[in-house]
Amino acid sequence: MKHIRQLAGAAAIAAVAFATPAAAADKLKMTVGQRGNWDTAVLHLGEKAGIFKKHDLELDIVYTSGAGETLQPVVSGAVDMGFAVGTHGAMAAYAKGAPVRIMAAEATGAADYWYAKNPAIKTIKDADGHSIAFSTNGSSTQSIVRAFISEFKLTAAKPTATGNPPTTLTTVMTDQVDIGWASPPFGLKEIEEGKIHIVAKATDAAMVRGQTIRVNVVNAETLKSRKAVVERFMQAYREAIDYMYSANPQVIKDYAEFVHVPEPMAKRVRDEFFPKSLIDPDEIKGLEPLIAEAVTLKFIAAPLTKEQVAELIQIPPRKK
Amino acid sequence: MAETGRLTRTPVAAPLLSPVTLLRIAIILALLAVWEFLAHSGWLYRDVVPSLMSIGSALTELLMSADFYFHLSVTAGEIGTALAIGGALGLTVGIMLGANRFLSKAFESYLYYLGPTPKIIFFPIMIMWFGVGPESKIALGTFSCFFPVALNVAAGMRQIDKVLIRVGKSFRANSWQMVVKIYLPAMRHPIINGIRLGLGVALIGTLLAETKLSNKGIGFLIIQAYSIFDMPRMYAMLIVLFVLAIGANALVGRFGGLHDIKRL
Repeated sequence: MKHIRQLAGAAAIAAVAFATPAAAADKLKMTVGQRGNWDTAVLHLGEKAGIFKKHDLELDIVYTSGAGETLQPVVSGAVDMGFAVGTHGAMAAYAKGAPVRIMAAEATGAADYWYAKNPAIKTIKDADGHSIAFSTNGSSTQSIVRAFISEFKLTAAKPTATGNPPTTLTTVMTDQVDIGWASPPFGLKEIEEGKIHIVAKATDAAMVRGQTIRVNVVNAETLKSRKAVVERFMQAYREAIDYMYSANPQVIKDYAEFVHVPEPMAKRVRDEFFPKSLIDPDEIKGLEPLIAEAVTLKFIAAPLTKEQVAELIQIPPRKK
Repeated sequence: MAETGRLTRTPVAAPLLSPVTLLRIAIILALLAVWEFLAHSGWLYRDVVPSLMSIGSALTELLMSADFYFHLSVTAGEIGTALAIGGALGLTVGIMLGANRFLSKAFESYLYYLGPTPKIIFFPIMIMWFGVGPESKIALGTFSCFFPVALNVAAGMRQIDKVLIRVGKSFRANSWQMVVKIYLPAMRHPIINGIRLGLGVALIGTLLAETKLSNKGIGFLIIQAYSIFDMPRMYAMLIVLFVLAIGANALVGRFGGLHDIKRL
């Protein structure tokens, strides 16, 4: 009996001595703008499905109310990554010497849509002489409205800054603005109830279709000192996107719960407004017109050189 | 001689509710009636003024949600910490400025100029210095509540009866004893008023910061409700905040003995 106890004790000591501690997951802090959009839900849905955990990643997500608050913490190093930052904003920060790098495209083209209450305004061509909403100066929605005006010759249209979708909807419903903007799933309930109807989608503008208007950025120091973690993160991010477009019904269920909409509406958001190509992270499209527009709008003083572009855009390659 | 009775007044029972209380209740009921009328009138877009029933339903759902109390505790912790740090700093600076005419002339005007500045414009700096967590919200709340406390305490110091100061000095009280036994008791009301004002601005600053950048707290919940246009839920949270702010203010006032002041 004494021998058995001694053996058991030795075995316990050996187990403790030789047991390797479970490897702690790599923690990443990030800011995300426009919570609730399908394209910015990649992190939430991927987390819920356990994809990031599978890659030994622990995400600390902080949601923000706009691009400024998304980018600033990345610049200051308070967070490692920022999601859904305007491409022009990222270029501007980089050109001023901020330690930001683009690690992925976030939205190529846009899912935003424009709507009206007035039944006489059926398509964007009817918008001439009417007020058209965009969020704020310098935003992607302002660029899209400018594209509408240019491509559809809406010389008498009146672009009007109205802020975020809820505020914009209120201005349209109270007849302060003729054509409002929204990002799905916002406004779909009012469309289904017949209160408003879609007049145009962002992708109706040819310029928008081929441009990456929002990007995901990483702090330059994080990219340098934790390159392997960033690469692993991007691998998980791509896997999360594949999962979002799979036939697994759980993804729609989780998204519906996330944004408090019925599941059929959640499915409609993905299937009608967000083709998979829209959130493909692997390429920044329409770079030259984006840079030219950034100069015109005074985001940057001069076009970025090839070397600057190579330093700014560092998308980890997809592993085969 | 005939005995005359003593004239006595029949005691009249005190009214259950004073006229002032009745008027307050009437005002609240009138406002609720106007609100409900607007909600059903069709003059305003429906969800901008939801009906009292939908707000009540959202409020019930909110109060029964454990998640809500977690977020409430986060916000309360941030505000409490901001008030403690800002209040302590404000008290210290106020005493220094009030006790020293040279310092007061040199620095107090800066407090007056910076005081009315909307503190939210400093939030980007707070994010850079303190990060994206509760620390930046506490920093903004601290910065917000520092000014009313410091200015009230400085003014309160100058109003302390000189006799009390002479008494303290005649007993050869050191600086610490002067502060604890003379200044603070004599300035109780200005300090409490400063803290009440500080509580209000700390609440505003912290909530605003949470609406701009956070993943927890009541400000975060409010902006989430707004972003999906769940207006009844948003109003329900505003009601809870309003009630808590009144309660906290009343508690601070009672703690400071302000109920001793007879109202005219």
